[in-house]
Amino acid sequence: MLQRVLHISYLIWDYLYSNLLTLWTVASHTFSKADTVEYPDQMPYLAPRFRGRIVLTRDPSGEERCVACNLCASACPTDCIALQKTEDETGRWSAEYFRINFSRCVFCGLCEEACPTYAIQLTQDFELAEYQRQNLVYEKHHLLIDGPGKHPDYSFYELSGKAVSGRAKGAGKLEAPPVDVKSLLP
Amino acid sequence: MNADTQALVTIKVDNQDYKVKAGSNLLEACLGLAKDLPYFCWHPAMGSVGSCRQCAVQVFADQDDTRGRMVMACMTPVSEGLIVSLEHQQAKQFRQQCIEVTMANHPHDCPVCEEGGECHLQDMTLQSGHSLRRYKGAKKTYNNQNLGPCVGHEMNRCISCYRCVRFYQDYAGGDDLVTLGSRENVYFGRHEDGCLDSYFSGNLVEVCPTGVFYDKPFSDSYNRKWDLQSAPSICGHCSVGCNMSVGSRQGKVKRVTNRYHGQVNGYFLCDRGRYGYSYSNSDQRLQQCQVTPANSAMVTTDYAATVDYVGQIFTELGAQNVLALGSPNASLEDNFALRSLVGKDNFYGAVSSNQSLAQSRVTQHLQRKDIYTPSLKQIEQADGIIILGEDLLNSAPRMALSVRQASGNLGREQAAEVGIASWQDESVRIHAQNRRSPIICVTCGGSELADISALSLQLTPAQITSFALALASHLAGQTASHGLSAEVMQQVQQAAELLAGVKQPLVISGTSTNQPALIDAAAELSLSLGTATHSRAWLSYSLSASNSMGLSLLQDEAQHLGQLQARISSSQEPLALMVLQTDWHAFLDPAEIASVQPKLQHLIVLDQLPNNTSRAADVVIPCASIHESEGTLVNHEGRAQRYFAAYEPANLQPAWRSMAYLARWLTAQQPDVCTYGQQALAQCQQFDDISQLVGQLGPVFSRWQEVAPTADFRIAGMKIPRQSHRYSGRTSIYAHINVSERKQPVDQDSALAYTMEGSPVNPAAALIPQVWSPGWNSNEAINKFQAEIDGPLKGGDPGIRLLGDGDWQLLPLTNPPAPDKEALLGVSQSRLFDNEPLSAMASALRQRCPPAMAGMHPDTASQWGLQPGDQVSVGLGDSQWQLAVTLDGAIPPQIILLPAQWHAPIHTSRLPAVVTVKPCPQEAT
Repeated sequence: MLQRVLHISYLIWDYLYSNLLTLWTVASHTFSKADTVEYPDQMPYLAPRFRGRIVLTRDPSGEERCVACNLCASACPTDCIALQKTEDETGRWSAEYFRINFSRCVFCGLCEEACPTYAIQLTQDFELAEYQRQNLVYEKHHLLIDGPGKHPDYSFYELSGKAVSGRAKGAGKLEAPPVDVKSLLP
Repeated sequence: MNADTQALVTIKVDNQDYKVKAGSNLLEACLGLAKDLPYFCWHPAMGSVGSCRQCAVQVFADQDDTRGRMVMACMTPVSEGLIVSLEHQQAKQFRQQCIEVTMANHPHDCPVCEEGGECHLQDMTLQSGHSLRRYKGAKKTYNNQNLGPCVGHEMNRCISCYRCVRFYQDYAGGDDLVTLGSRENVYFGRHEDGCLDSYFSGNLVEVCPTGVFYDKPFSDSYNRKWDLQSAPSICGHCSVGCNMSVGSRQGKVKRVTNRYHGQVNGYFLCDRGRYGYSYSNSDQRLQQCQVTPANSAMVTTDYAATVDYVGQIFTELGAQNVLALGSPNASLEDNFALRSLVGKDNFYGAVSSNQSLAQSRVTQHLQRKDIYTPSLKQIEQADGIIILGEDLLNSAPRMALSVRQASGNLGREQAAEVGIASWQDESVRIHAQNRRSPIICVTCGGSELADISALSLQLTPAQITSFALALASHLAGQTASHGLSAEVMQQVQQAAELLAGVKQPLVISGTSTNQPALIDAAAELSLSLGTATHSRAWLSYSLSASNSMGLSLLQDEAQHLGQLQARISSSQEPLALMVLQTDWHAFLDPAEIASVQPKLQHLIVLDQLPNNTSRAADVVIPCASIHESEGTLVNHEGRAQRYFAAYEPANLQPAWRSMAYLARWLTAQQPDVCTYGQQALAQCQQFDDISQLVGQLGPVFSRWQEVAPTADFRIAGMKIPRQSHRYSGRTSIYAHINVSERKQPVDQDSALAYTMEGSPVNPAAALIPQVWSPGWNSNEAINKFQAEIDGPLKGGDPGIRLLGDGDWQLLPLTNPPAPDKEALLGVSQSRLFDNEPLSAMASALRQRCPPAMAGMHPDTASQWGLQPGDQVSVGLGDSQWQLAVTLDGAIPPQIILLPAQWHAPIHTSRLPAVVTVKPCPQEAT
């Protein structure tokens, strides 16, 4: 009998204690500092290497950096990048179209890692929501920005050895003047 | 060179014993053992020169030797008991240092290089372990040259392996790509900018281990190799039937590369095969069915309505009044479907009467027991060749390349006598000097093989036939002049002397002169040569189109164009004609067209591109091209080879399928009058169904099922993917049209899939879409697919030879009438880039066509008072053709050489014939 009374008393105590503790905890939060922020009035802190919306950048002279080498597309684990190479009359390669389907993109950043010209870069913009999924398909004119992004000084064609728009053979960085085939001098 | 092929020796590679072929070099042996050993300058078809120092290995004197010595594997013959290490630290370090030096001046331009992703240099750099650049100095640069519309040039990328000039000069006989400069400043290019002359220049793209030479039309809308949806295909531009791999993306053919076949094309294609594809991308392609009912305007419609309309024509006129014209350019299945639809008696071939007769003679000779038709690989083993009436470089260029290799056999044989192996390329050449196996060219016009010919003659077509017969009699110990002059008889004597010591002679002839008698004379000569040299009689014919042989197997030799015209003209009842992939009107004079028009109530054209015939037709049914459908082509040696679709066209059906629809309509609407052929065709839903029907055609087709694996072929339950495992853009390539991905098309007709899913490992030899192996991204990966290096593919080379045995008789000579004073014998001169209707559309090739000129002997020209460059009007029947004259003393005085352009006013199929020649009045300047 005594055992039974003790057991019931324990259950009542346990029930009361748990509820009172919960009430206390909730009440105490009324006076603590909030963890959430008032987005969008207040923007969250994003780390410098945050991976958000993808852009295509330009080199210091304002030309498109993307040379349509297709490495981003092949690195992409969701196959959401498609592009086609074209070439201007000076021999400079660029993308005829460059399409990213952001409804498939997982923002892994492998495209940025693969890019040999620093053209494709992930930015801190994450506000990509759309009501229509079709609007998540970005074309080249949506992606192309006016600046160089994270690598302000890099210009691929300075180092490629190829002659393009105004830069003759041998005029790039670390390039010797073109070999004179007719010379016999040592 | 083949005496020792069967002998095996045992070598020890990295402590493991292997049996390898005696007489080969160590590099070849190691690659054959599926080992990875880097190389640049060695090429399986071109041998070794040991210049790149990349294949260094360590060789040990015996088991106790631990230091060993370093040798270049490509320059070391394998020998019994050879102990070698690929993994030895010293050899590995040497290879790594070598490539570091090679890479010191290599530009940093892989992202903008067309070779990137399928670059032998990238592969070898990774393989040898060089990963960090230590050289910080300035890199060498070179100015580039414009090498024409087909091949681009970026000299910065050169690693001086000399493969390009070795291929271009030594292998293909070109002389305008040379090594310029000296020491470390060597330059590979032309003396000045200009189009590369060689018809094999496109191979430089594949031969170059890096991106110095790139495919220009491909570069215009470039994709990486891994982004191409590829399929194994067969070239449809001449009768050789080279195997090629067609790469496509987004429903366009992007490029064509060589697909290795051990017996046919080996590693190389001609430029017509490589660049002739662009008709398939043309915006002029017929995309929709067009029906023009009587007295009303043309309407575009769908297949169902068109089949309905054509079915009504069959009902209205009676099936016996529907004729059909099959094409030597269309696949055997397409021609067979057409024949099934209209019946054998109503089925005609789009070939002239002489052509048809010549072709059927070829088919008969190839079936004989006493004559053997060598493959191209075997042609390379002949050591004495006589070419009769064919300008081989223009009519079957890849065969001409094999003939060129055969001309080196004497040199290789003499080198072997002093102990130089045949793969010691440079040593063999130095030892041979200018000694070559005898090649004799007897043609109507100048021969492009003159530089390797011991004897080069220009005669009229009839004289060539007589020459062959005279030579045959001479070899048999008789003297018969066959109407030849004493001067020519002397040359017959000379030819007999040249061929006297030959071990394996070969006679090459063909149908381009339209001389049935020449076909027989060539066979006669090959038999006499065989008897005289105690060898098997070897005979090879070059034919006019990719499936000439296939068509001739389906068509009665009397059912040709002339017969069709006669049948239409003499018909009492209105007729309908179905034309398959042929510009029928191109074969007819305007007057002839006018004469057949009233009898033809309906003209039904099944074609890919619009032409004069399709414009005159009341029903036009578009067809899928060779790059968009499956089919089988039978090449000049009777080898049936299957091609596969690279991509599925949006709205197009292969021709056989349209005809199967029609057969189904007929069996449903009028079951009691349907023929057996129509009923059988009506059952065909998939490609294998029609292929099975072909297999029942007769003994020649008994092995038809072995041509290629059927659609139910699987590897571990999986199909073979057309796309690489790295194919990109799947979820975005069509996202601009609809963000929801479309379903991948399902291929019911073959064992290949339009996806990247499936088994890319060890596909059947006939089903290799493109070659790739881990670490081997370039076409050099082919060594992983070969059963032995430079030998057959694993599982045997694809395709089967159809022709067996038969009887034959010698035809009497048919001499064309002797020309009178106002006339000359017009003879067609083959042209590589514009005498085949489809490749003539390719813009890259159009730019390379030489101007159309009529060739004459100077004496003949002076009779008409003509100077070089003067305009003449050449007439045949009602057709007139005005063109400029060029003079050449080698052309026989009785003939005028007319360029065989596909759309010329005088069609090649009408030649040789007597043509009228009138000088045109000079324009006042």
